[in-house]
Amino acid sequence: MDDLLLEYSADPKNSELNFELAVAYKDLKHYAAACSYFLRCAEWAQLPEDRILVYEALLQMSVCFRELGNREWSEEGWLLHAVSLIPERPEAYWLLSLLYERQRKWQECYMFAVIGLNCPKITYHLKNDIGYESSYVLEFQKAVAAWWIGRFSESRMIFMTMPDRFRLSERYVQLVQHNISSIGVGPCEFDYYDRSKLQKFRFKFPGIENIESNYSQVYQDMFVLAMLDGKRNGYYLEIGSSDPFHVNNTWLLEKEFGWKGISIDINEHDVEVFSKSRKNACVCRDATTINYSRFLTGIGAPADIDYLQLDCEPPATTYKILTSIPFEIYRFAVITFEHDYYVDASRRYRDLSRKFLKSMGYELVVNNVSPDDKSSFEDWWVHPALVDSKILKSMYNVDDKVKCAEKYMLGG
Amino acid sequence: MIVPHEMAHGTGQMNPSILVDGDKIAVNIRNVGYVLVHSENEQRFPSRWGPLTYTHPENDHTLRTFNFYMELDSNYNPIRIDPVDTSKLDVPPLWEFIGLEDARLVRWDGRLYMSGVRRDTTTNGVGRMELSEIIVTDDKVREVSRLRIESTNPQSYCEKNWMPILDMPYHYVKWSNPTEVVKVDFEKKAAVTVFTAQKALSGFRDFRGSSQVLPFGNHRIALVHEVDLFNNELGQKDAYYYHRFLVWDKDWNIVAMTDDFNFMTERVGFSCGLAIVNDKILMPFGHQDNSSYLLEIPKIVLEGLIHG
Repeated sequence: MDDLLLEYSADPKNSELNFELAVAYKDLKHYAAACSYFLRCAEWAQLPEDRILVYEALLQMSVCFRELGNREWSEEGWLLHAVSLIPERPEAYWLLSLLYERQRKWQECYMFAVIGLNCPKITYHLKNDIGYESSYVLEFQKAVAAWWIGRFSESRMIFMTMPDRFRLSERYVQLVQHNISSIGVGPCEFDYYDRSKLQKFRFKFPGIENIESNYSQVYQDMFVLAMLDGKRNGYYLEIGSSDPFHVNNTWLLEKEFGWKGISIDINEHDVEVFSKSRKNACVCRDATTINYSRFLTGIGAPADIDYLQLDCEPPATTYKILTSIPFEIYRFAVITFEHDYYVDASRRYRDLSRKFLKSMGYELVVNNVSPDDKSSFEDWWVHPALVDSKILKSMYNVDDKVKCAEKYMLGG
Repeated sequence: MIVPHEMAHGTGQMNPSILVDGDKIAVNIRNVGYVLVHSENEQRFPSRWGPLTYTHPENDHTLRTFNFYMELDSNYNPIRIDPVDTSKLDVPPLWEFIGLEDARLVRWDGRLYMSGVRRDTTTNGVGRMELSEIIVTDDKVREVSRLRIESTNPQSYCEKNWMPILDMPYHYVKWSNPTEVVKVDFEKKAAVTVFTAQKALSGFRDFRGSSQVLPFGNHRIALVHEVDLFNNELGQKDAYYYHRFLVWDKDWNIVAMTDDFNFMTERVGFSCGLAIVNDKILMPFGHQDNSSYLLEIPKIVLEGLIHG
């Protein structure tokens, strides 16, 4: 700072030096001083030659006022100067969109994100980081604002496709994930089985003829029974049970096939309803904090458990729980693992879970299971020593495609 | 000179004063809650309110002043920075300018004082100079007494920028052109005029007080400021500040002055202090009300004013 000041005092109208001094003050969070020199930079620079430097100085003025807080009218003013100077650059539109987001002016937030997205590709980057990572930050703003102006489908579509369309920074992976988790995936699609579909069923196991309808979202309960040839009196560990009936993977097993087992969920209400209405037990716990070895020993679970369901959110959480299961002590004949690839902003946990389960000796039977043709959200696994190889062969369907669960289960 | 963000919260640090106090170099920096925005040159980028704007928080337009006491080592690096604790004497403010503004440091009769203007004691912002004694201990700087000095003209609305005369306890140069010297009458809590020059120098803007008045050989010296206040074509206010040194003889005749100047080509700046250390003159100044600096000038440069 001292050297810079000496240099500055010899040439105080030098726009570059004013900018450098301003940045030095901003780094010290001395925003008032930074504003002085950013503005001097802007006022004393040569235009149009130095327009990008001036544009950046004006953006930085706005950032300084943002950091000081409670000066949004000023913050907006400097951004409008910047837009007026170079309307074809996106950064000012992004900062305006952020400002309107804070003010909950969603129409404006959306509009400036859209304008920013229509700017030509940047060929010259600013000297200092203002947080504008790439055009995806504008996509993100558009998605956020779209939600609040009621464009729910558009908002979800942007969030869910961002990880595939952009190479997101870790920060934006987290932000996208947070938003997907917050707004959810929207109205759930279900593919229920009923007796009318019996003839088309891929593997008709003993007892299927008595099933009027199932309860899982996409045939998970029917898959378990198929893989175990309609096993009766089996045992399950259900992590993330949610509602005890609707979209539940173990109710059919308990009700029609006499299974025992234990369910775990973090939602107190769901657990209360479950406990009042079903015979099998459900405990209210944070599944990420359980010592499963001690837990399973405590409830007297058998060493070979017929079914493990893992369905928590977000994907990182489900994966974390998977890795805390004592696979060296317990074996699971069938596993349905919800990796939620289609809403996993990091796009990491599907591959990680596959590597992990393979390393534990499990075999993938069907991958990229989806309620439709595009939303890869689960993989279904078996332990080869605990299932009939003929059934395994008949149910096997592993490739790169997304599989609509109903088409797969009725493919026989 | 920077008061860290944790203490000053990133807003303006301005109008510094300085005092060589024994073996210490003491500084006072005024911290305000606004950011001054001043467009220069062609004024291509004025704020939304005009070229000269005090940017307060949008829900708080009070002008609050906090003072920070700093000590510098011989290389002018800060060795301590403390907020001046005024809590013992503060009362609920009645006007929107709150706190002691533009305080000059002075030691008189062994006591260390800050002397500046306060405008928060009446509902219409009447400003009067105050003399606040401060005590500096190892871990704290506290205001322990406060005297509000009534003006020689009780009708005046705002008295400010009186320049304490370092070698004349409780005396100020109240006005520089024509020079008026006042003394504090502690019993009456008022200033009494002890000298008024008969003639003003003509052809100058008003000379307003800036630094303290320092003995300078057989003379006295001080920094004063001048202001051009004007409006642009939209009627929005603007201002240019200028500074100059004045030299008085022992009879308070102005015998020399510099040309007017500014700091680092800024249009808005201010100083509340001046000090002499050996062969150097130390002059702190505030830049656009936002940041503070310390300028070192060889003493011989100013001596040339008198003898040259």
